[in-house]
Amino acid sequence: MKTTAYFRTSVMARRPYLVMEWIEHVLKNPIRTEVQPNGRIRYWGYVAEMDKYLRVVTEPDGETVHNAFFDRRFSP
Amino acid sequence: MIFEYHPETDMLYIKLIEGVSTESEEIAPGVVLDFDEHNRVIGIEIEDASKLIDLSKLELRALPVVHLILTERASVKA
Repeated sequence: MKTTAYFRTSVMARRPYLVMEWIEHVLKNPIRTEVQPNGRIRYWGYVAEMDKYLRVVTEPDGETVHNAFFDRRFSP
Repeated sequence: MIFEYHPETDMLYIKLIEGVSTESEEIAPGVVLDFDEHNRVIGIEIEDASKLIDLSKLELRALPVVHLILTERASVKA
């Protein structure tokens, strides 16, 4: 899986709960997707193990992971 | 408190206190708060930071600063 340096150095450090398998799961099984004004793409998916919704943001290519977090505001 | 800017992705992260995030919430377009297990805000993430903020100026007023540290991040290979 391709990731940005920002994801590797900053996001993973402060959100150590992130599991790459969950991110892959969300990218393959999104509940919702949105394209941001800057072209990045948001994907939301459900992580059953944690009973939470994970937001994954990719670069405009749709595959390079740029950001991810448990999004407590999201409701399907 | 740490301000860390990532120019290659135009992301600014402001770490308010030490800790790890357990969940997050976008409070305005591109502005995400990180919460810890005690529901404390531990950091602020700002996307497209250069479009929202004047990054060329940092002014500190009346802060009891003891240590002021300026660093550059090491590059990370993909």
